[in-house]
Amino acid sequence: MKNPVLESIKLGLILMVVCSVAAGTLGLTYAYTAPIIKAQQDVEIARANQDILKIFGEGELSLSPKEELVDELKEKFPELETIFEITSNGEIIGTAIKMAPKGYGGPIAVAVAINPEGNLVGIKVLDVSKETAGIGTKVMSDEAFLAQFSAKKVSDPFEVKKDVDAISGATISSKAVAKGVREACEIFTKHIKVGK
Amino acid sequence: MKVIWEDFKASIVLENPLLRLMIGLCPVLAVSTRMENGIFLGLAATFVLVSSNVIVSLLRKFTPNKIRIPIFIVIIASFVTIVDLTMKAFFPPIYERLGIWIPLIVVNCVILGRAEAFAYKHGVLRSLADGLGMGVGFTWVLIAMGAFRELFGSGSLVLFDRTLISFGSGFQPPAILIKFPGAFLTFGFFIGVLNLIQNRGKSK
Repeated sequence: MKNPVLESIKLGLILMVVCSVAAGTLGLTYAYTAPIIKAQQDVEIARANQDILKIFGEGELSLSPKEELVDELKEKFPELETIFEITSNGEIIGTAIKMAPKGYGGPIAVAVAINPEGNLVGIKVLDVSKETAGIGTKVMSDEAFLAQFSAKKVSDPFEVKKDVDAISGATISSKAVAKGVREACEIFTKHIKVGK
Repeated sequence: MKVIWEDFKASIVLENPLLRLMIGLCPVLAVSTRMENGIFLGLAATFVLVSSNVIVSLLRKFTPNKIRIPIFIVIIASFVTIVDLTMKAFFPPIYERLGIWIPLIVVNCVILGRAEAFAYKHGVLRSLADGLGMGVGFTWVLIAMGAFRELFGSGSLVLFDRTLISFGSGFQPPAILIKFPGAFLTFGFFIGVLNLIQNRGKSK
């Protein structure tokens, strides 16, 4: 192996063999796990939808996503995830807007339930996995914090220190939730209620 | 046999990758906010360590010196991707929480370090023992630090949604432990305690 060109080719070939074996193994792993991952995600979405319906109460409720509206608004509200129309026996009883405002460690998933009159039915924090354990995660479980949103109107400011009390120690996460709710209300006022 | 046992044992305390060699620290400082994180990141890293050590050792005769690092990285990255997909499929909530730290196992210095310093020069069995030992050494520190920070920083210890220990609402946890500075404080504290124990042993 004196010839440097030949040596480079030999090294390249060895590397290619190693990479091919690695790629093959990964392909098999992917083929095996992909359907399981998909099923897990579907379960996750179904559970989140169930949680959203629970804000509106018990009964025969169903939700239908308004995908076109979301696509249209996504540019203006990058933190918007989905908009659902909630119906009970064919009658619209409200709107649920799912937002993903940025918290302390990453996005927090918040669902905001609004009735057709423009009053908040309630909010539900769906995911706080990126927040600091035991601190930021409180926005999901703190009843007093969450209850503040229930009786409000979409026209309220939703600002920490004004009409929303933050959880002590978790100001950033609380502000994020408030921002998510504020934007959801803005979307409702400007783009959903107007159309009716 | 004795050599293999020594290889395994050495990394648990005396050559502990974290408390002694002080390599691969970034994920430890970042995810040790919960005991549960420690268990899963530790297991994931151990799997990658053991597998990559074995494969690197098996291929060491066929691995030209000039391209050994790219080959190591391809091997390590493949195992990390396998772990990544498997965790995503079977433990989605924990996968969500560990987030970027699972893919980042690729660049964990412990793993490339052991491939280069140990597995490339030793036989398969010794490399396996070394990988296991390093993995156990890495994992116990991760779990212990996670448990310490979770318990004293948030007031309770939760495992798989069940509360193991809780100080109750009367305890005001020092939140600094859960935040970044707490990672350094806890890590320093652990090294101090280990030094204390070892020095005490020597003076007798």
